[in-house]
Amino acid sequence: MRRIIWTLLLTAACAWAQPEKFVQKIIEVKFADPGNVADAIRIFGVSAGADRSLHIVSVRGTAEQVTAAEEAIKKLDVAPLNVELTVYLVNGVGGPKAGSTDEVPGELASTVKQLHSLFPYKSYRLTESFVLRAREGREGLSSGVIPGTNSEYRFQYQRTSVSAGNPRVVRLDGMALTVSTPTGRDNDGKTVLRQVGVRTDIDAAEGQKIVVGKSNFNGSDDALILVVTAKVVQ
Amino acid sequence: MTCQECEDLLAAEETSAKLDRHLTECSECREFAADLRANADAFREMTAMPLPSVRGAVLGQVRARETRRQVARWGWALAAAATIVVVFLGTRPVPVEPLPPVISAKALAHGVVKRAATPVVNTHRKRQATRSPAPQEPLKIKMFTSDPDVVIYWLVEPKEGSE
Repeated sequence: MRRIIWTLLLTAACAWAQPEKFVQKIIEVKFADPGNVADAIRIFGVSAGADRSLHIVSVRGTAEQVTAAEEAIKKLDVAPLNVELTVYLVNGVGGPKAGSTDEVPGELASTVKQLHSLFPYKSYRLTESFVLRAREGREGLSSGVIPGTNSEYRFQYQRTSVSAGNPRVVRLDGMALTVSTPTGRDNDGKTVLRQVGVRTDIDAAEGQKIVVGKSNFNGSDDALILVVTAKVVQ
Repeated sequence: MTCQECEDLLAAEETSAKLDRHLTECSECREFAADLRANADAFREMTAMPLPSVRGAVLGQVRARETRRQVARWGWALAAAATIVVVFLGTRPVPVEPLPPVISAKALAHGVVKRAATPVVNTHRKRQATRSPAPQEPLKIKMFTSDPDVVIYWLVEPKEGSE
């Protein structure tokens, strides 16, 4: 009996003392930053390196560790989402000369109804609208001339991100709209511009209309209003 | 009732016994309800006012409320921090540090030195102190409307020389 026990113990000790076999693997990373991916997968106990120019992550560890790291990379390396932004530039018109009829498209009717309930502007008028396709994590810019005026607009944001969950929320960091209107020329003959703008971060859930506004547009009784809707597209 | 449900009911201006009970138990929701009421009051007054006075009135109300809240919240913390600083400075000898090396414009232009190892000491403190303050950020007021799909942010420029 004692001999059997000793044999079993010896076999177990031999098995335990055998060095673990390590495997190496090079994994291609298509969308995510290889450095960030390498940092993240070290939690599995593997040693990991990254090459950003080759878009690869090299992994070394036991077979189980490498498999776990590989699965994690598949989950982390997903294509960034695209976001479609629809932007409306609206004037809230006040003052004695303002008409009382709104001039906005049907999709802004509910928004204008809310604006009427909150602000004393007599009417709201759409001045420009455009659609902007954006990629998650990137900045965006659109500019042009406001039809029927000599004013130029510039709409931009520094970064867009999309939350998980339902509905998804699109965040625009550093969103800014600037309207430049020439007011004359200075002594050197250069055009003098009056610039008015709004700048803020916004969170727009899909289907929501985010209104960003400011009173006293161009020193008048009018308001500069920006309406943004966001949709995540694949 | 959860705080989220409570906020939804408050935003929709609904009332119920459940809501009242939750408000008596939850101080955060009570504060949120008070803020909503204050906002609603401010904007009711705002719509009754002629346009040029709207900005000043909103600014005044928001700033007064902010100041009261901040004084209440930070008063004790500031007093404690000030005491610690006084005790610390009173008991600790002030070390004299050598000036860090000045980085030449040429080196920067060639991209040799990107960042100073230690912050560069400004020897022109007096001149800097007389500079006009940086332009103030506009106040951002978030408004909930009866339509949950419409969220309004209204930006209010601070009055010049109001600080």
